[in-house]
Amino acid sequence: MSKKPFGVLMAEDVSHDIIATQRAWKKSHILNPLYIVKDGEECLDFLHQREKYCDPETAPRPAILLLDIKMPKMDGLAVLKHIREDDELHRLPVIMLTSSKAEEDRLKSYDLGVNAYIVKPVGFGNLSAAIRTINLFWELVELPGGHHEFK
Amino acid sequence: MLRSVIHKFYLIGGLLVLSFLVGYAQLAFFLRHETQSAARGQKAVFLEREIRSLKENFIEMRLWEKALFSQEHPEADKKFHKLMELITKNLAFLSTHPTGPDIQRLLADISKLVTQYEKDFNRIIQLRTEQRLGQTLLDSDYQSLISSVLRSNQISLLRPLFNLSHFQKNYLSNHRESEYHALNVVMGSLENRLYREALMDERLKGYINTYRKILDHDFVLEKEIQALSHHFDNISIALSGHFVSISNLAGDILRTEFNGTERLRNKLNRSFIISMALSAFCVLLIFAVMARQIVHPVRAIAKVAEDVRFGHIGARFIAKGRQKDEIVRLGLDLNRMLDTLDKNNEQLVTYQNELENKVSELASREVELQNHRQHLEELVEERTVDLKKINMELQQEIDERETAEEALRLAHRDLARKASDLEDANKELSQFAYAISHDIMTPLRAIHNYADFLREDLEATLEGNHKMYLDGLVNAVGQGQELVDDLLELSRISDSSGQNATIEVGRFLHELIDLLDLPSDVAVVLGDHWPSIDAKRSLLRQIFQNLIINAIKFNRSSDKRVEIDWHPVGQEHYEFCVRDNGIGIEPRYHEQIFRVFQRLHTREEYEGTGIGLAIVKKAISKLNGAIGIQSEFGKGSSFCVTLPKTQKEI
Repeated sequence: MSKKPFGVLMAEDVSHDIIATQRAWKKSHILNPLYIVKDGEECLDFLHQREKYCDPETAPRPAILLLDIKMPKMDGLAVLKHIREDDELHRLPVIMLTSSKAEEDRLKSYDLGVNAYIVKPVGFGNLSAAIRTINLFWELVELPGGHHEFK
Repeated sequence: MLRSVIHKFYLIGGLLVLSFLVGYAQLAFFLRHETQSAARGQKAVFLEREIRSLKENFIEMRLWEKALFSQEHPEADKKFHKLMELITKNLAFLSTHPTGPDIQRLLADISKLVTQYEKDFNRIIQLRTEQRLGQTLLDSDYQSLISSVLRSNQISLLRPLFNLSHFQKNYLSNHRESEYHALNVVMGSLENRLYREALMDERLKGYINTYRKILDHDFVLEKEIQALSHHFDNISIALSGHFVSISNLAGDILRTEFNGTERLRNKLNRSFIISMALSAFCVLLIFAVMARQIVHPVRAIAKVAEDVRFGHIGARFIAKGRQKDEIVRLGLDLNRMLDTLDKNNEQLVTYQNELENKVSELASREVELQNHRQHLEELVEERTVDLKKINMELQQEIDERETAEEALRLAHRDLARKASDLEDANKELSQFAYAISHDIMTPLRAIHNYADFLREDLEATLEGNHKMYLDGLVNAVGQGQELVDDLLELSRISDSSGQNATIEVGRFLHELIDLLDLPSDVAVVLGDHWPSIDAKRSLLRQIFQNLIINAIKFNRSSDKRVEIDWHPVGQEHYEFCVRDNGIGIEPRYHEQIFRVFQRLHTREEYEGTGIGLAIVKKAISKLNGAIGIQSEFGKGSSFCVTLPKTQKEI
């Protein structure tokens, strides 16, 4: 049975990191669609399918969110807090993918209910490996309420 | 002997107890006799009843015996045997019970007789049955004979046949000897007649012979029955006599026992009346003695006390009799006490007079004192004026001092503000360094990634120099990233978040070494016993991680060795030392190495950013500790960290 691969949303403001991630996606032959948003507010718009993301065809509900902490307008921790308090989104698996090694960022993320916390690795080979591992893990794990619904 | 009241009480009590004991003993004695007598009476009654029932049973059995012989009652046989059984049982029961010798003897006789009686009776019954059987046979033989004779139609034969029938009936109803002979004669005449008429044949002859045989046998039986009956009657009469006498004996015993019990009861009544009278006399005697020996003297003492209370001070107790027991002695003591009181009273009156004199003297003294006080008040007023002057001078001095103190306080506050400003600035700097490092990290990572992409994509087409440049680029960026990482660590030490915790140093070090994943040619040696200290875990990690890594990094030996040990310093500190067999440090550099970015070697010789020991030093100062170094070039190094056992809360 071939499952329709679930979508992954990535919230990341640094274009270098976006390019690196997209390259890793391609190099690792990951079939899941990757959606990119550039800041926290945009991320919430995408998740709620509003403003410029009101079309469910181009902005379907993702099954996983990769979230950076340091972002303009609204940082990753605020986005995470909003998701966990939202009736519709609170079960969405969220992975912090950040360059911050600070202990308080890590603890705060886990306090807010993050599913995993990964420090952006140095070197592209390491990034690829991390992305592959994330995908493999969520491919094996049964996501809450199927791939497209996480209510 | 009976001097003391206690002794008197003992005597009285003893007498009372004795009289009660005698009463109870009597009661117990009579009760025992009464019980025994009652038991005997009961036994006699029981015996008498048993014997009477035996007698009655016997009389009834005799009735049934008669009925049985006369065959008047269909159940006579059954009843008779049942009663027989009952009597045997009664006798057996009585023989097992202890009774008088007379009764025992009679019972034995009765038993014997009853056995004989039963035997005779059974024999008679047997004989009678046999006789009855014979009569039936006789009758049937007679019927056959008659019918054979009558068939001949000889009228002359009717007469003898009738006679035979008549005599046979007589004999069978009475069984007399004369009737037996008569029957035989009649039978003979019948036989003759038959011969005469020539009717006699073999068959008739057989009938007649059989008839004769049965008749003879019947007569023999009858005779035996009569003899037995006679014997049986004798036994019955003897038994009846025995029963009457045994019954009389039992009645006698019963009467005797009853009379005995009655006599005992009368005796008991008399004894009780006598003993009660004796007891009452004893008690009265005791009361009389008590009254004379105790109550009378006590009353006399009470009288003396009352007299004294009403003012007769001269009243005294007068002892009667010669005895001197406690009560008499109490009375005499009272007398002595009253004497002493009299004496004291006189003395008190004297004292009172003296006191009155002294009071009047004191009054005159008080007047004198009043005068003195007036004089003193004038003196005090004078002195107060002087003191006020001095006070004013002192106040002036105090004011001056307060002004000076105020100035000092202001200076102090200023200093504190500056310190806090400095701390803020320091913190700001730390935050600044953190932000900068973080921001620099992002482009560095990007450069690293792009270099990787280029190398991946162009791997096949790269030429010698280009490949070297690309490697150089990656290497340089890596160093930059390492530098920024270390700077981040350094700046993070200033961060005051996190809690102090009690850390077991030994366990902490083992976990840290496992985490560092050291190369296999390195041996880290830890002692066995380690203390616990208060510290922030992250700071402790920075200190030991950097020291251990340095010990391995600056080491060219083939078997690299790091030893960590500890010992207490004073009451409140521990010293932890990390020793290596590495390249060592010349003493002139011992100060510099703790500065940021201070390196002693080129990157090509030894990797590193030059921040490690700066981090160590900063972390130690955060934990209020100190670090020292002992090393010479080429002889290994020893870094010793002194840390307080507990962190004082500020």
